[in-house]
Amino acid sequence: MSPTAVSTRTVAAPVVHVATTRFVTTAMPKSGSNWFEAMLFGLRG
Amino acid sequence: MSGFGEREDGTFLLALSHVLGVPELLRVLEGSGLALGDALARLLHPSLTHGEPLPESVRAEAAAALSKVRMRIPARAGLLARDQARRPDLARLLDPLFAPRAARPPADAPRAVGCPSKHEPPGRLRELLPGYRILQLIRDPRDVLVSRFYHDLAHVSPAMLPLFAGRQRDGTLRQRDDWATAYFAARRDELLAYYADFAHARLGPDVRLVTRYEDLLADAPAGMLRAAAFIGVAPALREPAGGFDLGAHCERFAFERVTAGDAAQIDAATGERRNSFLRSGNAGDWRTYFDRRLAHDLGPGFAALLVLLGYERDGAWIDALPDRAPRAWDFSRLRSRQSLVRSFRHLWEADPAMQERFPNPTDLLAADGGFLGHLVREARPEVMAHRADLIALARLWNADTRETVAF
Repeated sequence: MSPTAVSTRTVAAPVVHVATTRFVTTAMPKSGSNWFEAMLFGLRG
Repeated sequence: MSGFGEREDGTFLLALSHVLGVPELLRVLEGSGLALGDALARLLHPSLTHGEPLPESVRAEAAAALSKVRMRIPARAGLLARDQARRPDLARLLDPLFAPRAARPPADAPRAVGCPSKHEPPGRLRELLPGYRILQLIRDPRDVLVSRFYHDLAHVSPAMLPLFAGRQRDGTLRQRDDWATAYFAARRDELLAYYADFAHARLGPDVRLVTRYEDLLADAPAGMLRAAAFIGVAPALREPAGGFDLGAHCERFAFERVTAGDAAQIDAATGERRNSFLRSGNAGDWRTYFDRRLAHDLGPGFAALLVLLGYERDGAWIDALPDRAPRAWDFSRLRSRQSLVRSFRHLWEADPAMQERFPNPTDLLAADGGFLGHLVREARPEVMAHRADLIALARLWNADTRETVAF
């Protein structure tokens, strides 16, 4: 995703009553993120 | 609803498309009675609780944003979906996102929901997604530069071409003597920009976990366990009753099988992967390509970045470099056809009829020539000019002739 396409809106805080961790991943291109994310998003839980 | 962000909805869609594939994602959402715009609006606006009708203005703006995002979904979307075992239960995945505020999560709800933001710096993610934990993958920037070079050779665009070659008075292309300075300076600046907030205090250990690519290569299960602990799913991995084997999981997702970028296309006749820029994925490959001049060209900012990221203690590695690198940069890895398709992909993105006709624009092996064949037959001046340049470069660099014939 282009690092330039950024909204200026502040995103509302996530729902706190749901005990689910929310996370994002980030890396520079060619840092192995496809592999990392494939393993990560394939995790159970 | 200004700023129903390109970045945010793209992030969400990419997350799901990565693991599911866009066509299937849309089918599942439809089957669940969830319009995609509704789903995104509720994800980004938790105050819009489940079942609450969306204002028409929100719906219209979401539809417009989605249209743009759908255009930008890479053809790689189906990459991981080929393996049935990797498909998550989307309904369960969405539950915690769309549940009413007061609802308790079902006992079997996912304990973590995440999305890849790709190349967004972590400080910006912290601002845009407060409350989200950030998993940052880092790699030795020298290896990143090597890998990026070969990636770029497979995707040479009109904008990138001047970094490598200049046009002579008679219009022919000639490789720039200073290409390395021009090209690597551009890529170095991207690295420096991305890592500018790396050491920022607000990115504390409770907010961000840094994982080294090199550590994953050495021991992927250990790295995944750390990541899992950080996002709160490690206990589930350790439950022996669940029969989950993290080692087997990582093996199933072995590097070679999942890093093909755009969906790999294998030539049925030769078994060769025709659209791949895949290389070894090794750590330390930079030693093969770096010489002292390149290191000096990259400058003190780059050397400082290596120290910041913990890959070097100081600049002594520069003095230890040879005057001449063990191996020259291999320009024969130019991929002309792939470069042309990627350069003019926006024509496909802007035309629903094209998308219907060529579902995967990067399919270089389509019997009718696919989108590439269409591009050439259509013969737009800008396409043909870049095609001529790519063919000239392929000859100049002795690139794989199979990449240039019938093109």
